[in-house]
Amino acid sequence: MDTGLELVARRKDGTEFPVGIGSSHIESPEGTLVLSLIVDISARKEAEAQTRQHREELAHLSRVAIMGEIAGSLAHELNQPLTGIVNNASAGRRFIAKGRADLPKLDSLFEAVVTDGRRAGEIIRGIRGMVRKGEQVRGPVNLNDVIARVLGFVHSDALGHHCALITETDPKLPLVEADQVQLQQVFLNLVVNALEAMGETPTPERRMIIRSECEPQGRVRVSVRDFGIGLPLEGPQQIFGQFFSTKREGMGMGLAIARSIITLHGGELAATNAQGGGACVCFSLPTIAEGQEGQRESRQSEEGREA
Amino acid sequence: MKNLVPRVFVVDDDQSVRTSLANLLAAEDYAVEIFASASEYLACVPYLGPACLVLDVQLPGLDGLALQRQLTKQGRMEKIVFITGHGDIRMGIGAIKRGAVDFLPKPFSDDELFSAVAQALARSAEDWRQRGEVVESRARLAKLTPRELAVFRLVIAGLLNKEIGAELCVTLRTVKTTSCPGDAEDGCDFRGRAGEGSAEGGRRACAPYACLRYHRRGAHNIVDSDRNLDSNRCRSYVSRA
Repeated sequence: MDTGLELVARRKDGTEFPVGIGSSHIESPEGTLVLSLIVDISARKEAEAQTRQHREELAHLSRVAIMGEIAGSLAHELNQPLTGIVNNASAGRRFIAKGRADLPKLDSLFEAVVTDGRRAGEIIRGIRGMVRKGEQVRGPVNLNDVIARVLGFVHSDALGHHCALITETDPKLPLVEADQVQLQQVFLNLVVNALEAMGETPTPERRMIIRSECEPQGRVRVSVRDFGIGLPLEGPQQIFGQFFSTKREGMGMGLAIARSIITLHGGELAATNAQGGGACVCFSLPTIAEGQEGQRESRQSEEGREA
Repeated sequence: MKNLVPRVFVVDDDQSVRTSLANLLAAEDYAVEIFASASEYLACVPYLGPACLVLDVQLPGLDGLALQRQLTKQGRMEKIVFITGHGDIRMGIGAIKRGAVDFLPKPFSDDELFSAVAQALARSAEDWRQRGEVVESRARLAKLTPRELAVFRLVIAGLLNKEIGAELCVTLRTVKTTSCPGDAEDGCDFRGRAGEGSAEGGRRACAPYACLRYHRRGAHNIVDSDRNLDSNRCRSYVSRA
Protein backbone atom coordinates (compact mmCIF):
# COMPACT_ATOMS: atom_id res chain seq x y z
CA MET A 1 0.00 0.00 0.00
CA ASP A 2 1.25 3.43 -0.89
CA THR A 3 1.22 5.68 2.14
CA GLY A 4 3.76 8.14 0.83
CA LEU A 5 1.55 11.16 0.84
CA GLU A 6 1.40 13.45 3.83
CA LEU A 7 -1.09 16.26 3.96
CA VAL A 8 -2.50 18.70 6.41
CA ALA A 9 -6.12 18.13 7.37
CA ARG A 10 -8.45 20.38 9.25
CA ARG A 11 -10.69 19.39 12.10
CA LYS A 12 -14.21 20.61 12.60
CA ASP A 13 -12.99 23.27 15.01
CA GLY A 14 -10.58 24.58 12.43
CA THR A 15 -7.32 23.25 13.93
CA GLU A 16 -4.95 21.57 11.52
CA PHE A 17 -3.26 18.24 11.95
CA PRO A 18 -1.00 16.07 9.79
CA VAL A 19 -2.44 13.06 8.03
CA GLY A 20 -0.99 10.30 5.97
CA ILE A 21 -2.98 9.22 2.96
CA GLY A 22 -2.61 5.83 1.36
CA SER A 23 -4.56 3.90 -1.18
CA SER A 24 -4.45 0.50 -2.78
CA HIS A 25 -6.63 -1.29 -5.20
CA ILE A 26 -8.19 -4.66 -4.73
CA GLU A 27 -9.21 -6.76 -7.74
CA SER A 28 -12.53 -8.45 -7.18
CA PRO A 29 -15.14 -10.10 -9.42
CA GLU A 30 -17.19 -6.96 -9.23
CA GLY A 31 -14.34 -4.94 -10.60
CA THR A 32 -11.52 -2.98 -9.04
CA LEU A 33 -12.07 -1.71 -5.56
CA VAL A 34 -10.00 1.09 -4.18
CA LEU A 35 -9.17 1.12 -0.51
CA SER A 36 -8.27 4.54 0.77
CA LEU A 37 -6.88 5.25 4.19
CA ILE A 38 -6.46 8.56 5.89
CA VAL A 39 -4.51 8.25 9.11
CA ASP A 40 -3.89 10.88 11.76
CA ILE A 41 -0.12 10.85 12.11
CA SER A 42 0.25 13.64 14.64
CA ALA A 43 1.60 11.24 17.27
CA ARG A 44 4.32 9.98 14.96
CA LYS A 45 5.14 13.50 13.84
CA GLU A 46 5.44 14.59 17.43
CA ALA A 47 7.75 11.72 18.26
CA GLU A 48 9.91 12.59 15.27
CA ALA A 49 10.03 16.21 16.27
CA GLN A 50 10.97 15.21 19.79
CA THR A 51 13.80 12.99 18.56
CA ARG A 52 15.08 15.81 16.42
CA GLN A 53 14.86 18.16 19.36
CA HIS A 54 16.73 15.77 21.64
CA ARG A 55 19.39 15.33 19.03
CA GLU A 56 19.77 19.06 18.70
CA GLU A 57 19.87 19.53 22.44
CA LEU A 58 22.56 16.92 22.76
CA ALA A 59 24.53 18.52 19.95
CA HIS A 60 24.13 21.87 21.67
CA LEU A 61 25.36 20.49 24.98
CA SER A 62 28.36 18.94 23.33
CA ARG A 63 29.06 22.21 21.53
CA VAL A 64 28.90 24.19 24.77
CA ALA A 65 31.14 21.61 26.44
CA ILE A 66 33.84 21.88 23.83
CA MET A 67 33.66 25.67 23.81
CA GLY A 68 34.18 25.40 27.57
CA GLU A 69 37.28 23.34 26.98
CA ILE A 70 38.78 26.12 24.90
CA ALA A 71 37.53 28.96 27.10
CA GLY A 72 41.06 29.98 27.98
CA SER A 73 41.96 30.26 24.35
CA LEU A 74 38.83 32.30 23.62
CA ALA A 75 39.62 34.70 26.46
CA HIS A 76 43.08 35.13 25.05
CA GLU A 77 41.79 35.81 21.56
CA LEU A 78 39.52 38.47 22.98
CA ASN A 79 42.31 39.94 25.04
CA GLN A 80 44.42 40.78 22.01
CA PRO A 81 42.12 43.39 20.45
CA LEU A 82 41.26 44.69 23.92
CA THR A 83 44.95 45.22 24.60
CA GLY A 84 45.24 47.02 21.28
CA ILE A 85 42.32 49.30 22.15
CA VAL A 86 43.63 50.15 25.61
CA ASN A 87 47.14 50.83 24.30
CA ASN A 88 46.04 53.00 21.38
CA ALA A 89 43.60 54.99 23.49
CA SER A 90 46.26 55.49 26.19
CA ALA A 91 48.71 56.61 23.51
CA GLY A 92 46.20 59.17 22.25
CA ARG A 93 45.59 60.53 25.72
CA ARG A 94 49.32 60.87 26.34
CA PHE A 95 49.80 62.74 23.05
CA ILE A 96 46.97 65.09 24.04
CA ALA A 97 48.36 65.60 27.55
CA LYS A 98 51.71 66.58 26.05
CA GLY A 99 50.11 68.95 23.57
CA ARG A 100 51.53 66.98 20.66
CA ALA A 101 48.28 65.63 19.34
CA ASP A 102 48.04 66.38 15.66
CA LEU A 103 44.88 65.30 13.92
CA PRO A 104 46.35 62.76 11.46
CA LYS A 105 48.09 60.99 14.35
CA LEU A 106 44.91 60.85 16.43
CA ASP A 107 42.97 59.72 13.40
CA SER A 108 45.29 56.77 12.85
CA LEU A 109 44.98 55.82 16.52
CA PHE A 110 41.18 55.98 16.34
CA GLU A 111 41.21 53.92 13.20
CA ALA A 112 43.19 51.21 14.99
CA VAL A 113 40.73 51.33 17.90
CA VAL A 114 37.80 50.87 15.52
CA THR A 115 39.49 47.94 13.79
CA ASP A 116 40.23 46.24 17.11
CA GLY A 117 36.72 46.89 18.38
CA ARG A 118 35.29 45.25 15.28
CA ARG A 119 37.64 42.33 15.70
CA ALA A 120 36.53 41.83 19.32
CA GLY A 121 32.89 42.02 18.20
CA GLU A 122 33.52 39.42 15.54
CA ILE A 123 35.02 37.05 18.11
CA ILE A 124 32.05 37.52 20.45
CA ARG A 125 29.63 36.90 17.57
CA GLY A 126 31.50 33.72 16.73
CA ILE A 127 31.32 32.48 20.32
CA ARG A 128 27.64 33.35 20.63
CA GLY A 129 26.89 31.53 17.43
CA MET A 130 28.43 28.42 18.91
CA VAL A 131 26.83 28.49 22.35
CA ARG A 132 23.43 29.87 21.36
CA LYS A 133 20.62 27.40 21.45
CA GLY A 134 18.79 27.48 18.22
CA GLU A 135 17.22 25.54 15.42
CA GLN A 136 19.69 24.46 12.84
CA VAL A 137 19.77 26.67 9.80
CA ARG A 138 20.96 25.10 6.59
CA GLY A 139 22.39 27.14 3.81
CA PRO A 140 25.33 27.24 1.44
CA VAL A 141 28.55 26.97 3.46
CA ASN A 142 32.17 27.35 2.42
CA LEU A 143 34.18 24.83 4.44
CA ASN A 144 37.21 27.12 4.25
CA ASP A 145 35.22 29.66 6.31
CA VAL A 146 34.44 26.93 8.83
CA ILE A 147 38.15 26.12 9.07
CA ALA A 148 39.16 29.77 9.40
CA ARG A 149 36.65 30.51 12.13
CA VAL A 150 37.52 27.47 14.23
CA LEU A 151 41.26 28.05 13.88
CA GLY A 152 40.58 31.58 15.11
CA PHE A 153 39.05 30.06 18.25
CA VAL A 154 41.92 27.70 18.98
CA HIS A 155 44.81 29.86 17.78
CA SER A 156 46.16 30.59 21.24
CA ASP A 157 45.50 27.07 22.53
CA ALA A 158 47.65 25.80 19.70
CA LEU A 159 50.36 28.29 20.65
CA GLY A 160 50.10 27.15 24.25
CA HIS A 161 50.54 23.56 23.08
CA HIS A 162 53.51 24.66 20.93
CA CYS A 163 51.68 23.21 17.97
CA ALA A 164 52.10 24.65 14.49
CA LEU A 165 48.90 24.85 12.44
CA ILE A 166 49.52 24.20 8.78
CA THR A 167 46.56 24.88 6.49
CA GLU A 168 46.41 23.65 2.94
CA THR A 169 43.01 24.81 1.77
CA ASP A 170 41.67 24.76 -1.76
CA PRO A 171 40.63 28.33 -2.53
CA LYS A 172 38.17 27.14 -5.19
CA LEU A 173 36.31 24.79 -2.88
CA PRO A 174 32.66 24.32 -3.92
CA LEU A 175 29.97 25.11 -1.36
CA VAL A 176 28.09 22.55 0.67
CA GLU A 177 24.54 22.68 1.93
CA ALA A 178 24.86 22.63 5.69
CA ASP A 179 24.39 24.20 9.09
CA GLN A 180 27.58 26.22 9.51
CA VAL A 181 27.53 26.13 13.32
CA GLN A 182 27.23 22.35 13.38
CA LEU A 183 30.10 21.93 10.95
CA GLN A 184 32.19 24.27 13.08
CA GLN A 185 31.35 22.05 16.02
CA VAL A 186 32.50 18.95 14.14
CA PHE A 187 35.71 20.57 12.98
CA LEU A 188 36.42 22.05 16.42
CA ASN A 189 36.12 18.57 17.92
CA LEU A 190 38.64 17.22 15.46
CA VAL A 191 41.11 20.04 16.13
CA VAL A 192 40.83 19.87 19.93
CA ASN A 193 41.27 16.09 19.82
CA ALA A 194 44.32 16.45 17.60
CA LEU A 195 45.87 18.97 20.01
CA GLU A 196 45.26 16.67 22.94
CA ALA A 197 46.63 13.67 21.11
CA MET A 198 49.98 15.48 20.81
CA GLY A 199 50.52 16.04 24.52
CA GLU A 200 53.42 13.58 24.52
CA THR A 201 54.82 14.51 21.13
CA PRO A 202 58.23 16.25 21.28
CA THR A 203 57.73 19.97 20.74
CA PRO A 204 59.42 20.39 17.36
CA GLU A 205 57.25 17.64 15.88
CA ARG A 206 53.95 19.02 17.15
CA ARG A 207 52.04 20.15 14.13
CA MET A 208 48.64 19.76 12.60
CA ILE A 209 47.95 19.72 8.89
CA ILE A 210 44.48 20.92 7.95
CA ARG A 211 43.47 20.35 4.39
CA SER A 212 40.36 21.03 2.34
CA GLU A 213 40.04 19.57 -1.13
CA CYS A 214 37.66 18.58 -3.89
CA GLU A 215 36.88 14.94 -4.33
CA PRO A 216 35.44 13.24 -7.38
CA GLN A 217 31.66 12.71 -7.56
CA GLY A 218 30.84 16.15 -6.28
CA ARG A 219 32.16 15.88 -2.74
CA VAL A 220 34.48 17.99 -0.67
CA ARG A 221 36.79 16.66 2.00
CA VAL A 222 38.29 18.25 5.07
CA SER A 223 41.03 16.43 6.95
CA VAL A 224 42.90 17.02 10.17
CA ARG A 225 46.19 15.20 10.48
CA ASP A 226 48.11 15.23 13.74
CA PHE A 227 51.40 13.75 14.89
CA GLY A 228 50.14 12.39 18.18
CA ILE A 229 49.59 9.01 19.75
CA GLY A 230 47.34 7.80 16.93
CA LEU A 231 44.17 5.71 17.20
CA PRO A 232 43.87 2.64 19.41
CA LEU A 233 45.20 -0.28 17.39
CA GLU A 234 42.48 -2.71 18.31
CA GLY A 235 39.26 -1.25 17.03
CA PRO A 236 40.21 2.24 15.83
CA GLN A 237 36.54 2.91 15.09
CA GLN A 238 35.62 2.79 18.78
CA ILE A 239 36.56 6.47 18.99
CA PHE A 240 33.24 7.22 17.32
CA GLY A 241 31.33 5.22 19.91
CA GLN A 242 29.44 6.91 22.67
CA PHE A 243 31.21 7.38 26.00
CA PHE A 244 34.59 6.65 24.49
CA SER A 245 37.06 9.12 25.92
CA THR A 246 40.73 9.35 26.75
CA LYS A 247 40.18 12.54 28.73
CA ARG A 248 39.58 12.57 32.42
CA GLU A 249 36.66 14.99 32.19
CA GLY A 250 35.57 13.99 28.71
CA MET A 251 31.97 12.92 28.21
CA GLY A 252 33.01 10.77 25.31
CA MET A 253 30.25 12.17 23.16
CA GLY A 254 32.15 14.61 20.97
CA LEU A 255 33.03 12.35 18.08
CA ALA A 256 29.82 10.32 18.30
CA ILE A 257 27.83 13.52 17.92
CA ALA A 258 30.18 14.81 15.24
CA ARG A 259 29.60 11.65 13.25
CA SER A 260 25.83 11.90 13.55
CA ILE A 261 25.96 15.53 12.41
CA ILE A 262 27.99 14.60 9.36
CA THR A 263 25.73 11.64 8.58
CA LEU A 264 22.65 13.87 8.77
CA HIS A 265 24.34 16.13 6.24
CA GLY A 266 24.71 13.19 3.88
CA GLY A 267 28.44 12.89 4.51
CA GLU A 268 30.96 10.58 6.13
CA LEU A 269 33.37 10.97 9.02
CA ALA A 270 36.33 8.60 9.14
CA ALA A 271 39.59 8.19 11.00
CA THR A 272 42.77 6.35 10.15
CA ASN A 273 46.27 6.08 11.52
CA ALA A 274 48.50 8.11 9.25
CA GLN A 275 51.78 6.94 7.81
CA GLY A 276 54.62 8.43 9.77
CA GLY A 277 52.69 8.53 13.02
CA GLY A 278 49.60 10.25 14.30
CA ALA A 279 46.03 10.10 13.15
CA CYS A 280 44.14 11.57 10.25
CA VAL A 281 40.46 12.30 10.77
CA CYS A 282 38.45 13.54 7.84
CA PHE A 283 34.91 14.18 6.74
CA SER A 284 33.46 14.51 3.30
CA LEU A 285 30.23 16.16 2.29
CA PRO A 286 28.23 16.40 -0.93
CA THR A 287 28.61 19.73 -2.68
CA ILE A 288 25.82 21.83 -4.05
CA ALA A 289 26.10 20.96 -7.72
CA GLU A 290 25.30 23.83 -10.07
CA GLY A 291 22.25 22.09 -11.46
CA GLN A 292 20.98 21.39 -7.97
CA GLU A 293 20.86 25.02 -7.03
CA GLY A 294 17.20 25.27 -8.08
CA GLN A 295 16.37 21.92 -6.55
CA ARG A 296 17.83 23.05 -3.27
CA GLU A 297 15.63 26.11 -3.22
CA SER A 298 12.49 24.12 -3.97
CA ARG A 299 13.34 21.69 -1.19
CA GLN A 300 13.87 24.56 1.17
CA SER A 301 10.50 26.04 0.38
CA GLU A 302 8.98 22.61 0.90
CA GLU A 303 10.58 22.48 4.34
CA GLY A 304 9.27 25.94 4.94
CA ARG A 305 5.75 24.76 4.16
CA GLU A 306 6.08 21.84 6.49
CA ALA A 307 7.21 24.07 9.27
CA MET B 1 77.79 53.04 24.88
CA LYS B 2 77.20 55.89 27.29
CA ASN B 3 75.91 58.09 24.50
CA LEU B 4 73.44 55.58 23.12
CA VAL B 5 69.78 56.37 23.73
CA PRO B 6 67.70 53.73 25.45
CA ARG B 7 65.69 51.64 23.07
CA VAL B 8 62.58 49.50 23.48
CA PHE B 9 62.01 46.36 21.43
CA VAL B 10 58.59 44.74 21.13
CA VAL B 11 58.07 41.11 20.13
CA ASP B 12 54.44 40.04 19.73
CA ASP B 13 52.90 37.91 17.01
CA ASP B 14 49.61 39.81 17.15
CA GLN B 15 49.79 42.75 14.80
CA SER B 16 47.35 44.98 16.66
CA VAL B 17 49.05 44.42 20.01
CA ARG B 18 52.45 45.05 18.51
CA THR B 19 51.60 48.28 16.69
CA SER B 20 49.52 49.60 19.58
CA LEU B 21 52.51 49.08 21.88
CA ALA B 22 54.70 50.96 19.44
CA ASN B 23 52.17 53.83 19.40
CA LEU B 24 51.99 53.90 23.17
CA LEU B 25 55.76 53.86 23.68
CA ALA B 26 56.21 56.51 20.98
CA ALA B 27 53.84 58.75 22.94
CA GLU B 28 56.50 58.81 25.66
CA ASP B 29 59.27 59.43 23.13
CA TYR B 30 60.86 56.03 23.34
CA ALA B 31 62.73 54.74 20.32
CA VAL B 32 60.82 51.56 19.46
CA GLU B 33 61.40 48.62 17.15
CA ILE B 34 58.79 45.92 16.61
CA PHE B 35 59.14 42.26 15.68
CA ALA B 36 56.57 39.56 14.93
CA SER B 37 58.60 36.60 16.17
CA ALA B 38 61.47 35.57 18.38
CA SER B 39 63.60 34.48 15.43
CA GLU B 40 63.09 37.87 13.77
CA TYR B 41 64.37 39.51 16.94
CA LEU B 42 67.35 37.18 17.24
CA ALA B 43 68.27 37.92 13.64
CA CYS B 44 68.79 41.61 14.37
CA VAL B 45 72.11 42.88 15.66
CA PRO B 46 72.14 43.22 19.47
CA TYR B 47 71.71 46.80 20.57
CA LEU B 48 74.78 48.04 22.43
CA GLY B 49 72.95 50.40 24.75
CA PRO B 50 70.31 50.29 27.45
CA ALA B 51 67.56 48.13 26.04
CA CYS B 52 64.19 46.82 27.15
CA LEU B 53 62.45 43.93 25.46
CA VAL B 54 58.65 43.87 25.76
CA LEU B 55 58.05 40.22 25.05
CA ASP B 56 54.89 38.20 24.51
CA VAL B 57 55.03 34.82 26.25
CA GLN B 58 53.12 32.93 23.60
CA LEU B 59 54.75 33.08 20.22
CA PRO B 60 54.72 30.66 17.34
CA GLY B 61 57.99 28.76 17.05
CA LEU B 62 60.39 29.90 19.75
CA ASP B 63 58.19 31.21 22.58
CA GLY B 64 58.94 34.10 24.91
CA LEU B 65 60.33 32.02 27.77
CA ALA B 66 62.60 30.08 25.42
CA LEU B 67 63.82 33.35 23.92
CA GLN B 68 64.59 34.61 27.43
CA ARG B 69 66.72 31.54 28.13
CA GLN B 70 68.54 31.94 24.84
CA LEU B 71 69.28 35.63 25.46
CA THR B 72 70.53 34.84 28.96
CA LYS B 73 72.81 32.15 27.56
CA GLN B 74 74.23 34.66 25.10
CA GLY B 75 74.85 37.11 27.93
CA ARG B 76 72.64 39.73 26.32
CA MET B 77 72.06 42.99 28.14
CA GLU B 78 68.43 43.81 27.36
CA LYS B 79 66.00 43.50 30.24
CA ILE B 80 62.73 41.76 29.62
CA VAL B 81 59.17 42.83 30.44
CA PHE B 82 56.82 39.95 29.70
CA ILE B 83 53.27 40.47 28.54
CA THR B 84 50.80 37.63 28.33
CA GLY B 85 47.22 36.86 27.51
CA HIS B 86 47.04 33.76 29.63
CA GLY B 87 49.90 33.32 31.93
CA ASP B 88 49.67 31.77 35.34
CA ILE B 89 51.46 32.59 38.56
CA ARG B 90 53.97 29.78 38.20
CA MET B 91 54.98 30.95 34.75
CA GLY B 92 55.35 34.51 36.05
CA ILE B 93 57.50 33.48 38.99
CA GLY B 94 59.73 31.40 36.72
CA ALA B 95 60.23 34.31 34.34
CA ILE B 96 61.06 36.75 37.12
CA LYS B 97 63.47 34.28 38.72
CA ARG B 98 65.29 34.06 35.42
CA GLY B 99 65.75 37.81 35.47
CA ALA B 100 62.64 39.34 33.89
CA VAL B 101 61.74 42.76 35.25
CA ASP B 102 57.97 42.30 35.17
CA PHE B 103 55.20 40.02 34.00
CA LEU B 104 52.11 41.91 32.84
CA PRO B 105 48.80 40.22 32.05
CA LYS B 106 46.97 41.69 29.04
CA PRO B 107 45.32 44.12 28.95
CA PHE B 108 47.58 46.15 31.24
CA SER B 109 47.42 49.83 32.09
CA ASP B 110 49.82 52.23 30.42
CA ASP B 111 51.24 53.23 33.81
CA GLU B 112 52.11 49.62 34.61
CA LEU B 113 53.85 49.27 31.29
CA PHE B 114 55.81 52.50 31.55
CA SER B 115 56.97 51.81 35.07
CA ALA B 116 58.14 48.34 34.03
CA VAL B 117 59.89 49.67 30.93
CA ALA B 118 61.61 52.45 32.87
CA GLN B 119 62.82 49.95 35.45
CA ALA B 120 64.07 47.60 32.76
CA LEU B 121 65.99 50.37 30.99
CA ALA B 122 67.52 51.52 34.27
CA ARG B 123 68.65 47.99 35.05
CA SER B 124 70.04 47.52 31.59
CA ALA B 125 71.95 50.81 31.82
CA GLU B 126 73.34 49.79 35.21
CA ASP B 127 74.46 46.46 33.76
CA TRP B 128 76.26 48.23 30.95
CA ARG B 129 77.98 50.51 33.42
CA GLN B 130 79.05 47.57 35.54
CA ARG B 131 80.23 45.64 32.55
CA GLY B 132 82.37 48.64 31.59
CA GLU B 133 83.93 48.72 35.05
CA VAL B 134 84.55 45.01 35.11
CA VAL B 135 86.31 45.20 31.77
CA GLU B 136 88.38 48.10 33.04
CA SER B 137 89.27 46.31 36.28
CA ARG B 138 90.22 43.15 34.48
CA ALA B 139 92.55 45.11 32.25
CA ARG B 140 94.22 46.67 35.26
CA LEU B 141 94.41 43.45 37.19
CA ALA B 142 96.17 41.86 34.25
CA LYS B 143 98.97 44.38 34.61
CA LEU B 144 99.86 43.35 38.16
CA THR B 145 102.99 41.30 38.87
CA PRO B 146 102.37 38.01 40.67
CA ARG B 147 103.70 39.43 43.91
CA GLU B 148 101.51 42.51 43.70
CA LEU B 149 98.55 40.30 43.03
CA ALA B 150 99.28 38.14 46.04
CA VAL B 151 99.42 41.16 48.28
CA PHE B 152 96.36 42.61 46.64
CA ARG B 153 94.30 39.53 47.35
CA LEU B 154 95.04 39.81 51.03
CA VAL B 155 94.43 43.54 51.04
CA ILE B 156 90.96 43.12 49.65
CA ALA B 157 90.38 40.33 52.13
CA GLY B 158 90.70 43.06 54.76
CA LEU B 159 94.03 42.07 56.30
CA LEU B 160 96.35 44.59 57.91
CA ASN B 161 99.80 45.08 56.41
CA LYS B 162 101.53 43.20 59.20
CA GLU B 163 99.07 40.34 58.91
CA ILE B 164 99.79 40.21 55.20
CA GLY B 165 103.49 40.13 55.97
CA ALA B 166 102.99 37.21 58.34
CA GLU B 167 100.74 35.39 55.91
CA LEU B 168 103.17 35.71 53.00
CA CYS B 169 106.32 35.41 55.15
CA VAL B 170 107.64 38.78 54.03
CA THR B 171 108.55 41.89 55.94
CA LEU B 172 106.18 44.72 56.59
CA ARG B 173 108.34 46.90 54.39
CA THR B 174 107.97 44.54 51.44
CA VAL B 175 104.24 44.61 51.88
CA LYS B 176 104.25 48.38 51.95
CA THR B 177 106.43 48.81 48.89
CA THR B 178 104.39 46.25 47.00
CA SER B 179 101.07 47.78 47.86
CA CYS B 180 102.17 51.41 47.62
CA PRO B 181 104.87 51.53 45.00
CA GLY B 182 106.36 54.94 44.33
CA ASP B 183 104.70 57.99 45.64
CA ALA B 184 101.88 57.06 47.95
CA GLU B 185 100.65 60.61 48.06
CA ASP B 186 98.94 60.37 44.71
CA GLY B 187 96.55 57.96 46.35
CA CYS B 188 97.14 55.25 43.79
CA ASP B 189 97.84 52.54 46.29
CA PHE B 190 96.03 49.38 47.23
CA ARG B 191 94.47 50.98 50.19
CA GLY B 192 92.77 53.45 47.94
CA ARG B 193 93.43 56.33 50.24
CA ALA B 194 90.32 58.45 50.59
CA GLY B 195 89.26 57.29 47.18
CA GLU B 196 90.90 60.19 45.44
CA GLY B 197 93.04 58.15 43.08
CA SER B 198 93.00 58.95 39.43
CA ALA B 199 91.51 55.94 37.82
CA GLU B 200 92.76 56.81 34.37
CA GLY B 201 96.31 57.66 35.41
CA GLY B 202 97.81 54.98 33.24
CA ARG B 203 100.18 53.98 36.01
CA ARG B 204 100.33 50.35 36.76
CA ALA B 205 99.88 51.00 40.43
CA CYS B 206 96.47 52.50 39.76
CA ALA B 207 95.09 49.15 38.82
CA PRO B 208 94.55 47.77 42.29
CA TYR B 209 92.72 50.89 43.25
CA ALA B 210 90.09 50.28 40.63
CA CYS B 211 89.84 46.74 41.82
CA LEU B 212 89.44 47.86 45.35
CA ARG B 213 86.33 49.75 44.42
CA TYR B 214 85.05 46.34 43.51
CA HIS B 215 85.69 44.83 46.84
CA ARG B 216 82.10 44.77 47.86
CA ARG B 217 80.90 43.60 44.46
CA GLY B 218 83.01 40.52 44.34
CA ALA B 219 86.52 41.56 43.42
CA HIS B 220 87.53 38.23 44.89
CA ASN B 221 85.73 36.48 42.15
CA ILE B 222 87.42 38.53 39.48
CA VAL B 223 90.83 37.92 41.01
CA ASP B 224 90.23 34.23 41.50
CA SER B 225 88.72 33.54 38.15
CA ASP B 226 91.27 35.61 36.27
CA ARG B 227 94.41 34.43 37.91
CA ASN B 228 93.21 31.38 39.72
CA LEU B 229 95.54 31.85 42.63
CA ASP B 230 95.23 30.46 46.09
CA SER B 231 97.15 31.80 49.05
CA ASN B 232 99.78 29.08 48.88
CA ARG B 233 100.65 30.00 45.38
CA CYS B 234 100.65 33.64 46.41
CA ARG B 235 103.15 32.81 49.07
CA SER B 236 105.43 31.02 46.70
CA TYR B 237 105.36 33.90 44.25
CA VAL B 238 106.26 36.36 46.94
CA SER B 239 109.04 34.32 48.47
CA ARG B 240 110.55 33.70 45.08
CA ALA B 241 110.52 37.40 44.32
